[in-house]
Amino acid sequence: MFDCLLGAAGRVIPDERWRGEVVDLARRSAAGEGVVGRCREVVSTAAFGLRLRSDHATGGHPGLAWRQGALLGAALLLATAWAALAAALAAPTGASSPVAAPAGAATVVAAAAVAASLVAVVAAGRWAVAVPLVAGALLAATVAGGWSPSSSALAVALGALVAAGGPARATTAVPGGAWWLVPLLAVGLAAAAGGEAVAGATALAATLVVPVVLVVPGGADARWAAAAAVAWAWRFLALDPTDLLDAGRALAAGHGLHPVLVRLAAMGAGVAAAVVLARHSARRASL
Amino acid sequence: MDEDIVGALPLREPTFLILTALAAAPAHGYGILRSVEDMSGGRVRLRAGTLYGALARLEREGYVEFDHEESDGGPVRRYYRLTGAGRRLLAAEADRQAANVALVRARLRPAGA
Repeated sequence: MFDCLLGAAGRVIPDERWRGEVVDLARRSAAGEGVVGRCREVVSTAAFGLRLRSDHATGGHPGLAWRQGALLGAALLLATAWAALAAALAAPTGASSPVAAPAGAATVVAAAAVAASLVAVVAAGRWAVAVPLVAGALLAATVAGGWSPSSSALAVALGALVAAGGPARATTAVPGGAWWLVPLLAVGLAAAAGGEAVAGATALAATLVVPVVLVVPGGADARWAAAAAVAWAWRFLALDPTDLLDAGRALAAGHGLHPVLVRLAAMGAGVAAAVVLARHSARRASL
Repeated sequence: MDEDIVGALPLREPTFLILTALAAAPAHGYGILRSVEDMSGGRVRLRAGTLYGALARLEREGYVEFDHEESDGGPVRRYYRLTGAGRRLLAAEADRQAANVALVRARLRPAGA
């Protein structure tokens, strides 16, 4: 079992030169250790592999790790908007949806712009193409359905893209690159077929489940933690300000804590934890 | 002093101990691990991933380099050694720590002693 886990952790290490050496030393060090000691060796080996991958992608520059993480976070939010818009396009005319406006010319434009920007961001890291496309999609989605969760997701994605850097920082790229397009295409098709249920599930996965999963390797690779922070930050903009005001008034009047405030606190804690983790991870990369 | 070296200070304790382990002679991963544990009286126990993470960074920064490799029938053991920059970095860190020690001793000395 230990050998199997250590072998899997060793495969995270991208460099053949280090892989055999680290796995061999981990095996020798773990000899005579208990379960906890062995688990630590496995985690340490996998963490080394993640750090090495991050170093290869960023040249060891923490700033670049943050920018790549922001791009990945933007891609997650674009996926959320893409699913919502695909569901709206497939919905019968006049149907109302909590995730997107009914289909119309503006929705078609927004969906096309989001799809094109996803390709630009994840396949090639083309910031200069993606930024105007996302800005156009944001405008079209807002015209079609007002300030909806799709619009807010696009707004945060746009902010993350701008934060990720301009053409002078063209070395940024989403980790995994074009491979992300396959699940994104599947999500779009599923949302078009399954409607708002699939879009809602995609939003939940992209902005809650995936970031939680990203935070785990984020301790070794700052890019993943930064992406989680961006994805969670969206939830702040997705909140309805009137709900928030009502919850605040209810709290002031002694009617107890409204779930909206609990969610807000949980989101704040999530973003803060992800940012701290990303900073800690970047600091560990120093001597 | 070299600007890169000043920028790298202060070193984290595991990094300092790894460089110290390599100061006398080249060593392989397991040798460094044991040496660090001995020097710290068992207080610092590096995991394989932590050790090689530090070695990879030190090599990238030019403070450590590959020396040679040996095999006694088992897996190949790669030996690492300090570079000139690595020696200067370690000496600068030792000077920094010594200055701090001297400062503390002077402040703790009873007045008039």
